[in-house]
Amino acid sequence: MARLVASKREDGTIEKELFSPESLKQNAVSLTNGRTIIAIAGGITSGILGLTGLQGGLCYFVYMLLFTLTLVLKLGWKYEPYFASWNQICVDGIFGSITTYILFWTLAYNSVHVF
Amino acid sequence: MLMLDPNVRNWVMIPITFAMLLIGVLRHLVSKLMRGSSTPKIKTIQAKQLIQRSQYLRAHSGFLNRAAFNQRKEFFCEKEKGAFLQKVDPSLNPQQAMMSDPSMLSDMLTKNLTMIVPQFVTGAWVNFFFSGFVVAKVPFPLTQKFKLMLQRGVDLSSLDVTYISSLSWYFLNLFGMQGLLQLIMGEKTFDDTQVMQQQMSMGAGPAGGLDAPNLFKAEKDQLEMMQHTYRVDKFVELAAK
Repeated sequence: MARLVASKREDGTIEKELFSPESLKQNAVSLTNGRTIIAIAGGITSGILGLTGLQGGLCYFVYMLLFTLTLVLKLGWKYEPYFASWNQICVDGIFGSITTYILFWTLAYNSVHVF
Repeated sequence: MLMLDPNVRNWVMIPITFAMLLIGVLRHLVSKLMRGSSTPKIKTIQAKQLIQRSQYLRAHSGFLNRAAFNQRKEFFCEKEKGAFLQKVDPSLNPQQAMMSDPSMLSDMLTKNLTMIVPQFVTGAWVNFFFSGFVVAKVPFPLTQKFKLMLQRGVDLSSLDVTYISSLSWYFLNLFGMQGLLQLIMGEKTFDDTQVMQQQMSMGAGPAGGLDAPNLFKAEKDQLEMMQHTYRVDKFVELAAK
């Protein structure tokens, strides 16, 4: 089902768009899944490299940035056909997968460096 | 630097992670099984669809002209015959339903049971078999305050805070596994953090169930407050742009 949403542009004209909530939701789920995969892969990478402390924490954001960049490149620098806003692509769910990252970081770090 | 026996890794750390993963999958499937067996009641579906119809009406009112919109609005909100003002079946009122309908209570119980019992059992399992192990070292610095929490069961005052006990490893798994489980199952699984939040706010209101009277009232208010604009006559203009 499509939904008509009207929003005001900066220059005062009214912009009307058709959204399909189901597809938007599906895209959001794909986004979260992508982030989770990156968190897992990134966590294992950081762990094997033996990063500790702040380095590892910063690396998480670097991975997320890389993911976002790849995604944006794949979308061809426009969000309109797939997502509600830039904010959703760049910010949404960034902290959601941090526990996953920490888990796999710890797991890989311990398996390689501690024992 | 503390030397840890590789056997601890092979027989404590990895098994805990593996068991947590499998239990997560099991929980998801069991809850799916239990959810599937309960059939919703016709009254509930009717109430839900009434609300949905009203929501559709609000969302797509632009395609209706004034008269058509008012007619539909009247159907929902008219003072005597309006669908939202009819007497609501008592089973749809959660406070009353709790008294009259025991199935709802048992529903809530089983739902809670599937969520809490496995969590409890795994916690006890880890605590029973693996207490006292220093399992892992977290790769980031922590303050001394964490010592009590992360080194439960390990009473060594000189041990660095970053070394964590098996129970802490269990908790780390509990929270971190969520994303992976979601990937595996391909849909939303239980979120333990959400479960905990639900438990915190349990006193505030009955969990689950449809609170028809309140939802009806809210929907009616929104429908009445709504500003109706007819959009179709502007479509030509829009298309020309």
